[in-house]
Formats: sequence, C-alpha cells, structure tokens
Amino acid sequence: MTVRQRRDVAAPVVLTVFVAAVLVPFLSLLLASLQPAGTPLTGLARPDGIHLENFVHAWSAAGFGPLLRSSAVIALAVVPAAVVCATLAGYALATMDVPGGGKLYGYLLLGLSIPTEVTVIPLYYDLRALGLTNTVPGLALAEIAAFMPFGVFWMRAHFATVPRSLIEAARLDGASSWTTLWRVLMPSSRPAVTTLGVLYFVWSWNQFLLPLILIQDPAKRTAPAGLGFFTGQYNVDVPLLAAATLIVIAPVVLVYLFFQRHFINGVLSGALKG
Amino acid sequence: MATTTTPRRAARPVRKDTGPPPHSPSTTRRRRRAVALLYVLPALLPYTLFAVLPALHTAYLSLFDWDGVTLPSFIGLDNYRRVATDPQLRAAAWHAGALIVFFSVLPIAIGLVSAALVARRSGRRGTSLIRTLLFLPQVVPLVAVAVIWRWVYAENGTLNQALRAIGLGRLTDSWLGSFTWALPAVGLVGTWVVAGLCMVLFLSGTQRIDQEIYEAARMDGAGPVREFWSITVPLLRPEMAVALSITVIAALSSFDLIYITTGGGPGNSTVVPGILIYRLAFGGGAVGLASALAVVLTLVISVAVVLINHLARERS
Amino acid sequence: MSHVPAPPSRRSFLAAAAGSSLLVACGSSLTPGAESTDAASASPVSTAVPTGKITLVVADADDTTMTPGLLAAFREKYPNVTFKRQYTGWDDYLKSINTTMSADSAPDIAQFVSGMNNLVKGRLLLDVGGYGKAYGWSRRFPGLDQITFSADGRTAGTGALYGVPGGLSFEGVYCNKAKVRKLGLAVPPATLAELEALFAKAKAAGETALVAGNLDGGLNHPFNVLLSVHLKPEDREAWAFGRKGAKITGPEAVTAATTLKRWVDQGYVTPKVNGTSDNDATAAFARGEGVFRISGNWAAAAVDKGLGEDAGLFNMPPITKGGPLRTTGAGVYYCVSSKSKNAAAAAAFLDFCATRQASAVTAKAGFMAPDAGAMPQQSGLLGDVRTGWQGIVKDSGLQPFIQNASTPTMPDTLTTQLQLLAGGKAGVEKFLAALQADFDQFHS
Repeated sequence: MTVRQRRDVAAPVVLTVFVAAVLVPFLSLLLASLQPAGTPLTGLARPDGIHLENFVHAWSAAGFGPLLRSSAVIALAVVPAAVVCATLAGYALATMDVPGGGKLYGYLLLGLSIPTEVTVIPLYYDLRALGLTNTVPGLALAEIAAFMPFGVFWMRAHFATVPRSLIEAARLDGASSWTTLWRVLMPSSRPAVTTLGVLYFVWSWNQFLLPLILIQDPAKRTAPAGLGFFTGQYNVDVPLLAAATLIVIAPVVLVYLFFQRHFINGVLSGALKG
Repeated sequence: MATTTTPRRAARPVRKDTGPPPHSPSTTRRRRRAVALLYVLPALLPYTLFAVLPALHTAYLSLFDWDGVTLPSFIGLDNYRRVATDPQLRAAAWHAGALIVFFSVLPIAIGLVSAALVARRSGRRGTSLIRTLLFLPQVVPLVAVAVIWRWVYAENGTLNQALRAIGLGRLTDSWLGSFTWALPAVGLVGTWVVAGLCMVLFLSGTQRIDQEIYEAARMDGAGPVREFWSITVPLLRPEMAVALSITVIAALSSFDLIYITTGGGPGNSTVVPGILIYRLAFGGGAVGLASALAVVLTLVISVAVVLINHLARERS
Repeated sequence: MSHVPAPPSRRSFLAAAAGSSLLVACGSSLTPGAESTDAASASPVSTAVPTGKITLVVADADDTTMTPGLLAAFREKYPNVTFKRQYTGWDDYLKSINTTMSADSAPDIAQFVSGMNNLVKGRLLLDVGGYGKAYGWSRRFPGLDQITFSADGRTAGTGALYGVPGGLSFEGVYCNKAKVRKLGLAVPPATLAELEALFAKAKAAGETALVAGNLDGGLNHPFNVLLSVHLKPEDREAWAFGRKGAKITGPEAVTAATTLKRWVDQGYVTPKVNGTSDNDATAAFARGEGVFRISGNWAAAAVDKGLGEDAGLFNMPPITKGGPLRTTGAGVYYCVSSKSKNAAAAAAFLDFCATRQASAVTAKAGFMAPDAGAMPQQSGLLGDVRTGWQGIVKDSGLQPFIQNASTPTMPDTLTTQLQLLAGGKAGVEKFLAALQADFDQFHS
C-alpha cells in the first residue's frame, strides 16, 4: 500500500505549495489594508493595530457606491448577452454546417490578437460619432465585442466534445437544432457555460482601459477606476489602496464562490453519456 | 444576407452533419445552413462592429501621422518604415517570445496539476476553498498586483527574506531592478495570474471525464501520476488547445502586467511590443506610428494562433 | 486588421461593409480629430466675474486638498458659481485627458499635464493671454513660461498662454536631522561639493547617503536638479522647452551626469536603486532609512508623518558659495477648454489662484503659493519648505523638468536611460547622446 500512502501525502503537499504561492503575496495586501492610513509601507509588515476604518475611508473617498453600481450594471448588460451569443455561435460552429464556417471561425478567432491598447483610440472616435461615448450601451457593446472571440472559441471547443450520437439521437426524435441545444446539450454544458460566465464577469468587472477612455465622467466609470484615487502622482496611500482593492475584489470572489458549485454539479447524468 | 451556396465547401473544423437527408435534399440542406448562420450572427454582429471595425480603422490610421487629437495627415507607409528600423523592436520581440514560458508553459502545467488534484478531491472538505484560493490572482485588479509583487521582489521583500531564512542570503537581489532577472521576475507574476485561469478552464473540462474511468484505473492499481498522464491529460486536449492559444496570445501581446510592474525597465530589459505601442499611443502622442506597430504585432500573433489551432486540429 | 492570414469570407466582408456604411451614415469621419480653426480665442475678454448661476466642470488629478480647497474658497467669494469636480488618479488622468478634452462634454477647467500640448494644435485649449493681460498675471504668477506654447504645441516658453499655476512645487534636499546630528554633519552645505562631502561621510559611517528609487525613473529628481545647478539657465530652459537646435551634450551637462554617475558608483545612492520605486524610496526615507533624499515638496507630508521632528529640508546648494539658487520644479497648472461656455468665470478662478486667500489653501495642501510672501508661517519641515521656496523665488531659480515639455517620449526615454546609467550599462556620453537623439528626432 505504499503507492496509496505516497498518493495521500503527495497531493496535499503539492496543493499546499500552490495555495501558499497564491496566499503569501495576498497576505501582504491583507496586512497592508489593516495599517493606519497613510503609513508608508514596503513589504510584509505586522499591522500597527487593526484599522478597519480604512475600508470606510476608502469607500467614501473613492465613491465606491456609484462605481460598484456601474460595474454591476455593465457586467449585467455584458455577461448574459455575451454568454448567449458565444454559446449559440460555438454550438453552430461545432455541430452544424455553417456556410463558410471555417473562415468565420478563423475570423472570430483572430479577434484574440487585436491589441486594445491602441484600437481603443479609434474606437473612442467611432463611438463618439454614434453618440455612444459616456454611455453604458457603448461600453457594454465594446466589451461584448472584445470578449466574443474567447467565448466562441471556448464554447466551440466544448460542443466539439459532445458525443455525436447524442445529437443524432435527438434529431431522429424530431428535435430541432434549437431544442437539441437547450433540452439535450445544455444540462451537460453547465460547467462550460458557468465557467465562461464567471470569466466574463471577472473580466468585465476588472476591465480598465475601455471604461477609462470610453467613459469621460469619472463617476460613471467602473470599480477599478476607484483604485486611482489612492495612487497619486507622487504619493500612494498603500493602506487605503489595499482596502480599496479588497472592496473591489469582494464581489468577484462572492460571485465565484456562488457559481463554482456548478463546475461540479453539472456532471453528466448517466443516461446522456455517449 | 441571404445564404447563397458557396461553390467551395469551406473546411469545416468539426464533424459535419452526416447521414442521408430525409427529404428534398437541397432545400432542407439550404434551410439548415441558413439556420446555422443565424446562430452565428448574434456573435458576429457586435464583434464586427465594435472590435473589427475599430481595428480596421486603426490599420487605416497607421497610414497617417496622427497624435490622437488633431487632424491626421497622410504619410503612406512611412510609419511602417519607422517600425522596420526601430532598434528596440528586435529586443521587444525576443522578450515577448521568452514570456511564452511564463505565460503559457508554466501556467498550463500548474493548471493541469492543480485541476487534477482538486478534481480528485471533489466532495472532500475544503476543496471549494482551495479552488477559490487558486483562482484569486485572476480577480485582483492589476494596480494591486503591481503593488503586491513589487513588495515580494524588493530588496527587503518577501522573496529575499525567504532566501535569507533558508541560508541562501548570497542569492538575494533586487529582482525587478536586475538586468538579468527582471524579465523572469515579471514573467512569474504572469504565471501567478494566469495559472488560476488555466485551472478553471481545466476544471471545467474534468467534469466531462467519467469518474468510472478513474475508478477502473485505480482498480488496476494505477497511481496518481499514471492516472494524470494516461487519463487526465489526453482527455483535456480541447481545453488545452484553448488554454494554449489564449496564453500564447497573452504572452505575445502582453502589455498591462509589464507596464505596471517594470514599465519595460530596467533599461530595455523587459520591453515588449505592447509597451512600445502603448508608449507611442498614450505617452508619445504618435497614434499613427503606434497603429502601424499594432498592425504588425496583430499579423504576427494571428500567424501564431493559426499555427496553434492547426497543430491542435492535426493532433486530435 | 484582424483577418489577414485567412482572407475574409464574403459574409464577413459584407458585414464589415454594412458596418462601415453605418458608421459613415452616422457622420463619422475615418480621420477623426479636431480641426485647427481659429475659434479658440474669440470671445471678448473681461475681468468682471459673471453674475447669474454658473456651473463649471473641473477635471484634475490633484490628490491633495489644494484643488478642492481652491474651488470651495472661490465659491465662498462668488456663490453664484458652482463646481462639478471630476477627479481622476494621476496615471488614469494622463491616459484619458486628451480624449476627455476632445469630447463635446469637455470640462471647463482642467489640470494641465504634459501631453496636453497636442490639444494646443487642435485648438482645444483656450488662449488665455487676453485675460492674462487684463488681470496682470505675469506680475502675479511665477512659472507661466511652462504653460506657454507655440501654435503647434511643440515648443514651450514661447507663443500663447494657456493657463496659470494654482500651486507650485520644487525639488530640495531632505535630511534626517537625527542622523545628521549623530554623524556630526554640518547642514545646510554651502556648495554642491560640500553636499557631496556630506554624502561621503554618511557613506563612511555605513549609512545610505542618498535614498532614491529608480524602478520608475526616480533618479530624474537628482539629475534634473544637477542640471539646474550646472547648466546656464538659458541652455537648461531651451532644452526643456524644446527649442530647435538645443543640446544636452555640452560640458556642463556632462559634468551633471558624471556627478550623478559618481554618486551611484561611490555607493552614496540606495544600493540596487533600479529595483526600488520612487514612492517606496520616500516610504523608506520616512521610516528612517538613509540620511538625505532629493525630492519635491510633494513628499513633505509623508516624510513629516514618518520622521516628525527629525525631518528637515534645505535648498540644493549652488556650485560656488553664495551663488544664485537654482532648482527644478513644476506645479499644478489649470487650463481652460476652448469649448467652455463660461470662459470668463473660468478665467476668474484662474486669477483667484494668486490671491492671499488662495495662498492659505495652497500652502496648507503642501504646495507653494504663487504669491510666496503670502504663505502662512509654519514650523518644522513645512517651515523649512516655505523658507526654501522663498529663496528660490527670490533668485528666480525655478526651472522646468527636462522631461515634461522637451518631447512627448522623453519621460520614457529618460527613465530607460537613467536605468542604463545607474545599472552600469551605459556611460555618461552614451546616456546624454540617447537623450539628445530623442530630442532631435522630434524637433528635426
């Protein structure tokens, strides 16, 4: 039984190393957020008392209320729409005879290599011509467009693994492609769709350059813009920045915790296995 | 947008509809193809309007001398001539290539191992906590990532403290300021961020894998290592193709992570094409020149994407 | 640009064509940008503050209490004017301000930062020269040349005036008085050579003499100040302002760069300086590390908080004893959008910045008031800063940062080259030649 013993030891050790590698840098952030505001800091330092009021100060100084709200509004506009579009396209490209499908797929894929750090400037002028700068729809459309290549890529890769016989069987039963997608394939696709949704949410939430350029009114920008309040030209208020960071990431972590059980619970039921 | 028949059947990536069409073959087929196109359209439309067109617009503006504010003036291919003779570009391309190790190879390896281990633990206590923790770096805004890692790498930072603690004090360095170590140091920050993404992609994939396969393997006395290589890795190939494409692109087009940690320094030792583009577009007010560089970068990355997907398709 | 290796399918081409016709239909031009019309300085100039309800939108990246304080003080005096302040963090502001100013909803007043001189060429900034004359700003504000630009925006210090400084900043030498006493150092030194001798003593005693961080190019602070001390003011200014034909490769500049290099090579500067950020260097100094630090008054609050009674500051000493004081500095400058419908009210706010009421606000925020004499008495470090500033103003010794107005790429070039210099990868000649090459490429 030495194999079993080794296995029982090795796995936790490796996981512990990984978790530690994630947590040690994080620890400095957590500790920093508890230091007195304005403390000049470098590196891991034991807090000088516990200053939870940093969170209150950070919240009011950066006006996180409206920022988190607009982040949420934009994520709500972007995530469902983008997930649905990507799922439909991925489904069709993987299982159907789309005219020019290969080229369309390539066309979508190449969007992965568009460098936003310069296209955002022409995008700003294009949206300005349409009267969409400084608006939620303008930003939401830009994000949906930017996220689409990954989503199609991901969902197509997923649907390509679905056993062919499953789709054939559904069709023989007279199911339309629409019914096949929602009734037959969706239940087993929950892990892939949830993963996409969570990633879209995180990216939209933390999206930075697009809101910065496309939204001119700072109060209407998204949550990460609030971090700029603590990084001035010459001074960085590290404890407040750390507290603000935790405020910004808290909703994302909650969303992740809430949805991650779907990664597990979406296991195929035996009847559907091919 | 009527669907006309294309004379040449495009190489369809996946298994296409098979079996004899039941009724009036050509009309049904045409209808089905039209429907298929309708499925793709909602993705295609916003993508074309708000990603591709601005990109084409950028390509167009690369023929101009433009500061991003005033009216551009047409200068033809001059910007491309300047890109071709840019002394920094060669180093930048080299650095971007080297980053593939840190943005792609390492995160995929770590992602695979952690996904396999986490998946095996499923149901045990603390598993969801571990999963969340490993994903955490993905959710931290980059401004904070920069601050955190500058502390890790500082002269009196966590890394040097650790080295001293285990008696390797002579190895300490000021990592981000070292001409030798800055690139790997920044690369490892990338590994830290991207590994969580890879793990999530692979975890999603492991849900497809039948637990019975593992049980059967275990009955045969397969250890975790053999299980990993002969079951998990082969079955996650689709996810690996996705992860590889995404991360290689992330490496070649890397910008924000480097911008916020070293800004390209010390000297030019961590300069990548994305940094050059950004400096020109936002710092230098040379949006036209930046656009030309962006066009070149996009072409190079596009070739890489096509190659990866070609390979992935061939192997599967 | 994205679909090159695989030629676009007909369908995607159609979609693209449909999209572009949509854009064209909506009036978008494929070559966007502001036209150079002469509408920028049209309206008649008056020093009367308009009556009636006015709202001014103010965009800034000032993380101190100065800008909000000045707005509040102005409003107290003119209750009919309300402000809507749009604050953005420094880095974000640099990225977004040009597009913000080119939007139809441009703010009336904006903090001027380098890079905004492109707006001059696009006539998006208001030429406030008329107001300046009417109000007499040239007598009341120091440092106006830093916000005066030629019509193409490429050269500063000449042409039309686009704003005024609300508060100014300058570089000085901070010291840790406790360590100065312990090591028996005589401060302030009367000459640059004496300062270097103090560095040597501190180093001999095992201390870091000059705390610095060059991860983001912070050695530009000592370098700029050394240039101020060594160069003839007109040469220094010609280069910093981007005058055609200016050189930074002359013997004085070589001396300045050699001095900085020597400080690094002798071990006076923080070891492995390329790995520390400028902010972290301030943090380290405030925690009691090292003896001296060359930085601006913006660091005073942090240093004061950390060192308290032990914090001190003196001016950068000249080369010869009793010579005129020279240093580098900038400030928070306010400019006005040419799209503003309330330019007269905006100009009235600019004028307000030179008043005695404004000085109190500015000084409290840690900036130097345009009216140096009106700054209130303070004790400790802030008192040192005030004394230092008055000395600089008396000698007209404030000079611009070389990277701010010379060329748009100079901040990045200077950072890169300083890292190469400090890391021993480039010599003094090569270092200066690289700076000059950037300059010549832009001003050819």
